[in-house]
Amino acid sequence: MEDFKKVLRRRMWLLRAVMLVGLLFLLNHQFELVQLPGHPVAAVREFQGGLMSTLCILLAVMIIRYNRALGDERHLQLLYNREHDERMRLIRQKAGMPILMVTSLGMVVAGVVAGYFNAVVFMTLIGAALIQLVVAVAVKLYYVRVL
Amino acid sequence: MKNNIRQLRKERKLSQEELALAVGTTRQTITSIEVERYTASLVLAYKIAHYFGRQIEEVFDFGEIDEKGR
Repeated sequence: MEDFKKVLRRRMWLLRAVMLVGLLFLLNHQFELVQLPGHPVAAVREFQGGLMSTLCILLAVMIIRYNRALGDERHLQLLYNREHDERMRLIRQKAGMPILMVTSLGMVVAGVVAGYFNAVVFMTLIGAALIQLVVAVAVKLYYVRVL
Repeated sequence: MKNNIRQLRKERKLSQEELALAVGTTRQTITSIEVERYTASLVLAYKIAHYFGRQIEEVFDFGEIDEKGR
């Protein structure tokens, strides 16, 4: 279990780093401290802000959850079991989860960047990422019921 | 796969959560195994049987698999 604690601590540092980048983006988004290239239209700009806020909230929740697990052996064991559960691993594999999450996240990041230059590319990338995620979640829910 | 995990649990007044915690899995997986929706891996089956102090074949019914294999 000590190894898992190390993994969690490493993960928490990574999450904090990503959260810091997100917060800096939000700060700049709100107060325009640094002039970024391109001029996103208002809707795209608001979406970028909303997306980053959601991401920061999700990261904060994950950090709190990991922190709680590190301070309580029972929660740590539950988290370990949940992450290493063979049935959930099978379900995730069947739903194509690991790779779909990576590609969807990549598309969202690319979409946010593209939003500074072209609204159509932004919409396309975000739309495609959302559809991918919805399909993956639907397939996962199906297998959760079946298995 | 048919099994008598539920019965063994009841005998020991053990909840699914407690069994899951003891064998390193989740409550949902124990539920799925009990209702025969999910077939446990050999490792998990061994852990469950070992936890109850039984042989695997005493907890899980392999007869069904033998019939399908023929």
